[in-house]
Amino acid sequence: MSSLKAFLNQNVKVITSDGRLFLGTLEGFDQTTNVVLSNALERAFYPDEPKRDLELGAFIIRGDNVVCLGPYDEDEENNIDYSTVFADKLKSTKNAL
Amino acid sequence: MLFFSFFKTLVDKEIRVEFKNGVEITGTLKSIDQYLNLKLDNIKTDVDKYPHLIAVRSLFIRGSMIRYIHLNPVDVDTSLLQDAARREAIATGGDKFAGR
Amino acid sequence: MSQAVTSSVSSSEPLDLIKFCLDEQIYLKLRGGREMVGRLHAYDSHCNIIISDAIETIYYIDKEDGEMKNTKKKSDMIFVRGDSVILATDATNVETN
Repeated sequence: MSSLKAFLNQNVKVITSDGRLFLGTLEGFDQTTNVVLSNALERAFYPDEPKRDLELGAFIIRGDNVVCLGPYDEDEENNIDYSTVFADKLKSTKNAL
Repeated sequence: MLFFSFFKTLVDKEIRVEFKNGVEITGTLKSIDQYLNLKLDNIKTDVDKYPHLIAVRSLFIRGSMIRYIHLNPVDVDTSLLQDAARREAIATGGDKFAGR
Repeated sequence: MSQAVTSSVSSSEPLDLIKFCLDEQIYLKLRGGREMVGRLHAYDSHCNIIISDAIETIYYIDKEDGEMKNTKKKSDMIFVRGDSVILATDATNVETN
């Protein structure tokens, strides 16, 4: 089983089908990949300016919208100089051309 | 069941997954379930283009978001696959001929 | 009995058409303006498919001149998820360009 159990209570990054990125602590999940994040934030990258974080608190993401989910290394993450990281918005997974 | 069983034989092999949003991720297949959800370890991706997964090593991928999975041909026994596909066709679609 | 009529046809249901392509060249039309040609090794009832020596053609509109162009990608062995498949047929049925 590809269970998310191993990632429980870890800090994870989640990409959703509309191309957004969320960071938070994985509090729970179920068979359909519904996930609950706490202390979560949405991170947006821009092609010409540094990323921005938006604090959101705790919420659930419905399973259909989860593209991928993985825990990240806290130290490595904190050592990244995000002021020089630029990126285009991710494409949606729906009706993509 | 065919592909679930097939991907189980690829555990610990390196595969490249292409999502429906165009993002490609290479990694070692660690597990698979009946929905073809995957878990990859030691993931590699184009961080310059997609900085989203910086500092992520191990990744759960929802099967429904996958467009392609690129495989190494040496990991795949094609004649075994074809036999399995024929057997699966009889087991699933051919019910009404079972008595003949 | 009408049963005799239905079972006298050698190909009785849609997926049997794919069965006859096993170990042969198959053509797939895929979502997102994509096509794929290659040798079929496996399929299931969801139209999940494994193809070797695949050539994928991606059609797109060039932003500069508005013309339709295409790029080709090769893959030695590829799994195609069934929900992307629009149609599948024997590659000899299709004009390759």
